[in-house]
Amino acid sequence: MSLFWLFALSGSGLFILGLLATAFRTRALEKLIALNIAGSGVFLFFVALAGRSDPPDPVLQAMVLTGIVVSVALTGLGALLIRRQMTEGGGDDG
Amino acid sequence: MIASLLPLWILLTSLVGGLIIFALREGAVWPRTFVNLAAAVVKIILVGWMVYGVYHGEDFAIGYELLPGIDLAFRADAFSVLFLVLSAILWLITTIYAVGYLEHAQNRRRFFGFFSLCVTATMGIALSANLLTFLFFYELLTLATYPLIAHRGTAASQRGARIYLAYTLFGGALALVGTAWLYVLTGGVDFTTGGALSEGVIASHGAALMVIFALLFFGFGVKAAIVPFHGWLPVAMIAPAPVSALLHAVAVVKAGAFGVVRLVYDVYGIVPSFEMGLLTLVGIVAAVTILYGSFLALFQDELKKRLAYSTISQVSYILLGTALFGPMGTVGGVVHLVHQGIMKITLFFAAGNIAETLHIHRISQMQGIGRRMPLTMAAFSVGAFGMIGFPLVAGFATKWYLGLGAIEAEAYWVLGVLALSTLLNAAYFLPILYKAWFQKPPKGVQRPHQGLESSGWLLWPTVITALLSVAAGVFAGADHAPVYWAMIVARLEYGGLL
Amino acid sequence: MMVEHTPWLLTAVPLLMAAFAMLSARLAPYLASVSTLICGTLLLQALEPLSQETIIHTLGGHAAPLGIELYLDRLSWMMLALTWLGGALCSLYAFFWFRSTGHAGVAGFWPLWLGLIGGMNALFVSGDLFNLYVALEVIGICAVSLAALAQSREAIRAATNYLLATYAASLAYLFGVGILYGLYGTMDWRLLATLAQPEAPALLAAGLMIAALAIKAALFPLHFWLPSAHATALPPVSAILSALAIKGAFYLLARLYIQLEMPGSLPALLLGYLGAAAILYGGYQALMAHNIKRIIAYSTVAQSGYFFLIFAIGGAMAWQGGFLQLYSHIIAKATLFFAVGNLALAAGSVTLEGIKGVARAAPLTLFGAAMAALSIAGLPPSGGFLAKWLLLQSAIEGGAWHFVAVLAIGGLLSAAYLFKIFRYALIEQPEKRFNDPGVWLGWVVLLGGFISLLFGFVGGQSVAWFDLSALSLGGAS
Repeated sequence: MSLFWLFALSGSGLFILGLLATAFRTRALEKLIALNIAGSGVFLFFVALAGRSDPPDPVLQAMVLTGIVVSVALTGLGALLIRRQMTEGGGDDG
Repeated sequence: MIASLLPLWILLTSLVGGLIIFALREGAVWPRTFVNLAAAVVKIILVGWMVYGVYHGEDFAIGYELLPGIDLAFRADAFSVLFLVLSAILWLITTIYAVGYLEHAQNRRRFFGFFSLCVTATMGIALSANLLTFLFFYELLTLATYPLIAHRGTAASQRGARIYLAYTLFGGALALVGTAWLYVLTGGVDFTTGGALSEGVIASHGAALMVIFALLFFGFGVKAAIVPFHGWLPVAMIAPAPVSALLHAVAVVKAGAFGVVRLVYDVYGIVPSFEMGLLTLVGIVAAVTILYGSFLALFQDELKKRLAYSTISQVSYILLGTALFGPMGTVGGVVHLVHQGIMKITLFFAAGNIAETLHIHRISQMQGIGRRMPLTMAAFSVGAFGMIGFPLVAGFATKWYLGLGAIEAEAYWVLGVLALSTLLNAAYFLPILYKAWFQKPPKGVQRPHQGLESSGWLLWPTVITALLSVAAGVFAGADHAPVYWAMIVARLEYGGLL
Repeated sequence: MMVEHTPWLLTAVPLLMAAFAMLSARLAPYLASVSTLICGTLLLQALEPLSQETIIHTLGGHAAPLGIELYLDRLSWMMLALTWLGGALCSLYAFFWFRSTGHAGVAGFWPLWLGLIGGMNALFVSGDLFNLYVALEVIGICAVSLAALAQSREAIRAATNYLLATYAASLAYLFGVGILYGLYGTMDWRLLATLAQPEAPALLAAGLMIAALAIKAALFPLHFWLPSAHATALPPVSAILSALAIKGAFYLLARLYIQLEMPGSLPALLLGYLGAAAILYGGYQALMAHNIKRIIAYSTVAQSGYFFLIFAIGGAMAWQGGFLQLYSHIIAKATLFFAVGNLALAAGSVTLEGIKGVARAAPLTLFGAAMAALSIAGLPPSGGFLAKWLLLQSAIEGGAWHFVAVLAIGGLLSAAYLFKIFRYALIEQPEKRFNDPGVWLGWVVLLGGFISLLFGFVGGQSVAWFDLSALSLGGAS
C-alpha cells in the first residue's frame, strides 16, 4: 500500500468516524469535537492528494489552510454558543 | 384607445373605488359613500357603453402576457354583457341598501372595501376571454368574499366563512388542475362560441377530456352550490343581509353557474358536449340539486335559511337549461342567470329589512307582517311568485323556455322535474305569504311608526328590484329584455345548427 | 468598461461596509444603504451587456484552471437582483424594527447582515467549487451568528444545532471538492463539466456535495435544524434566514444539476421525491403548530419542497416554475416574517391564542401579509400562482400525476395553515389591549405584499428572460 493510500484512507476513516460520532453523540460539545475530528480527516485526505506530486500541489495546500481557518471560525463560534447555553441554563444538554 | 380599453376601465372603477375606500378613515362615512356610489354609477355608464358597442358588433378585447404564450385576456360577448349588466345594476342597488343596513355597524371601511373587490372579481369573471383568466378571477372572488362573510366577527360567522373557504378553495384546486390539464392538451383555451377544442384533440384525448370536464364542472359547481357541494351556502347565510343578497344573486353562485355555462358552450362546445354525453352529467346533477334544495327548503324555519336552500335549487335551473340540447333550453338557462338574480336579491333585501326593522328572523314569527311592512312584503311576494313561476313575473319566462327546451330536446323527464320543483316552490313560499298577509299579528304589536314602514335606504332598493322582476316578466318579449339577449347568446352558440 | 469588475465589486462592497459597520453601530444602517445603492447600480449596469454575453472576470489576471474566474450570466443576475430586492426589504424592516424595539442585537446585526449579503453575492458569481465553499461558509457563519442574536436560551440552542448542521455539511462538501480535484485537477466547474466521467469516485463526490447542499437548503428530512432556528431568531433575522440564506444552497444544487447534466439520474429523482415529501410534511407540521413563527418556519420547509420538485419533473417549463417559485418565495416569505414580527410586537405573544383580535391594532400589517400569503398558497395574482401553474403544467405534460396531486394538496395545505393566522387575528376581542407596532413597520409589510402581488404580473417575463431552453434540463419536452 502506497503512502498516498495510507494517508487517504486514514483521512477518510477519520471523516466517517467523526460524522458518525456527530450523529450519535447527544451533547453539543461532543458533537463539535467530533466534527473537528472529521475535519482533520478531510485535511489529511487533502494532504495525501497534495503529496502525489513533487513539489506538493500548492492549490491543495492553500485549500487546506482555508479549510482550517473556516473550521477554526466555526469551532470558535460553536464553543461560544455552547458556553452561553451552559452559563445561562446551567448544564450542557444541548 | 379609450374605447378599446373599456374592459379594463370597467374593472378599474370598482378596484380603484375599493382601494380608495381602504385608504379612507373609518369615520369618513360620507366621503366613503360618495366614492362608492360614484364608482357604481360610473360602472353602469361604462357597462351601458359596452352593451351598445357589443350590440353593434364592436369587439372589445385586450390581453396581457402573463407567461410565455399564456394571456390574461378580456373580451366582451353577449353572454358577458348579460352578466355585466346584472352585476353593475345590482352593485349600485346593493350598495345603497348596505349603506343603510350597516349604518351603525363597525369596520365599515373593511366591508365596503372588500365589497368593491368582490364586484371587481365578478366583473373579471364576466369579461374573461380564456379559461385561465376565468380561474384567476374565480379564485380572487373566493378570497374577496371571505372577509364579507366573516364580517361580524362572531364565532358563528367565523365558522360560516371558514366552511365557505374550505369548500371554495377545494373547488378552486379541482378547477386549477382541470385548467392546467386542458392547457397542456390544447396549448390554450380561449372562450369560443361553438367550442374551443379542435376535432383532433377531441378524437385523440376523449377519456382525458371527460375527466377534465368533471374536474372543471365540479370545481365550478362548488360555487354554484350543486349537490353534494352545496353545504357551504346555508352556513354562509350568517353574513350581513347585503352580502347574502349579493352572494346569492350575483357574485358567488352566479360565478359558478357562469363558469359551467362557459365550460359547456365556449370551451367544449354544445355539440361535442352532447356527443360525449357530458350534458347528461350536468342535467342529472342539476335535476337532483333542484329537487333536493327545494325539498330541504320546506323544513327551514329561519327565513334566510329557507331562501338559501331555495337558491341552491334555483341556480341549478341555469345548469339544467345548459344541459338541454337545443336553443330554447339555452335561452331558459341563460336568462335565469339574470332573472334569478333580480328575484332573489328582492327576497333577501326584504328579509334583511324585516330582520333589521322588526328583528324577526323566523317564519313562525311572521304572522301579519304584511300589515306592518306592506311595501316590503309586497316586494317579497313578487319575488316569491316569480320563483314559483307565476306569469307576469320574470321566473315564468325562465320556466317557459326551460319547458320548451325540454320538449325540443325530447327530454320529457325534465318537464317532470320542472313540475315537481314548481310544486315544492309553492309549498315553501306560499305558507310564508299566507302567514304574512292573512294571519293576524300577535296581540300588542302595532305598526311601529307613522310614515315610511322602515328606513328608505332599505326599502327603496327592495321595491326597485321587485319592479325590475316584474318588468323582466311583463316585457320578456321586448327588445333588449334579458330574454332578448339570451336569444342572441343561443343564436350564436347554435349558429351552425339553426 | 466598469462592467467586467461588477462580479467582484458585488462581493467587496458589502464586505467592506460590514467591516466599517463593526466600527460604528450608529452609522451601520447608513453603510447598509450605501452598499444597497452601489450594488443596485452595479446590477443595473450589468443588465445591458448581459443581453449579449456572460460577464467573466479573471481575478488577478490568472485564467482557469489555476486562477479563479468569476462568471455573471443571466441566471446569476436574476439571483443577485432578487437577493438585492429581498435584502433591501429586510434592511428596511430591520432598521425600523431595531429603532422601535431598541434591541441590543443591533450592534451585531448590521456587520453580520452585510457579511451575509457579501457571501451570497460571491456565491452567485463564483465559477469554481472552492470559491463556492468559501462563500457558503461566509453565509453559514453569518447566518448562525444572526440566529444567535436573539440571546434567548431557545435561540442559542437552535443556533448551536444550526451551526453543527452547517459545519457537518461544509466538511462533506469540502471532501467532495477534494475528490473531484484529485480526479480531474481543476475546480472550475465549466471545465469539470467537460472532464467529469460517471466513475465511482466522481459519483461519490457528487453524492457528498448534494447531501451537503441538501442540509444547507433544509431539504426534508435534513431540515431538522431549520424550524427552531428560524422560529426563535429576531423577526428581521428570521426573514433573512428563511427568505435568503437557504437559497444559496439551492442555487448551487441547480447549477450542479445543469453543469453535470444530471436529468433523469437517480439523485435527481431522489431530490424530487424528497421535495414532494417536504411539501406534505412541512405543510402538515405548519398546520399543527400553535406558534405563528413556527407556522411560517415550517412553511419554508414546505415551500422549499417546490424547488426540489423540478429535479424530478424536468424540462424548461418546470425550471422556469421552480425559479419563479424561488423568487416569489424570497419576497413573500420575508414579508410574512415581517408581519409575524409586527403581530408579536402588537400582541406581545407569538401563539395563535395570543394574537386573537390583533387585526384591530395592525390592519396594514394584516393586509400586506394577506397579499404575501396569496403567493405562498399559490393563489392569483401572485408569483406563487404562476410558479405553481408552470410546475403543474409540466407535471401533467410529463404524466407525473403523483406530483400533480402533491401540488394540489400542497396548495390547499398552505392556504389552510396561513388562513389560521388570519382567522385568529380577526376574532374580535373588544376588551383586549394591544401595543402599537408603529406605522412604518406596517408600511414595510404592505410594500412587501405589494411587490409580491406585482410578481404575479411581471414574474412570467422575468423567468422567460434567462434562456433555460439552451441548458440541458431533461423533461418531457
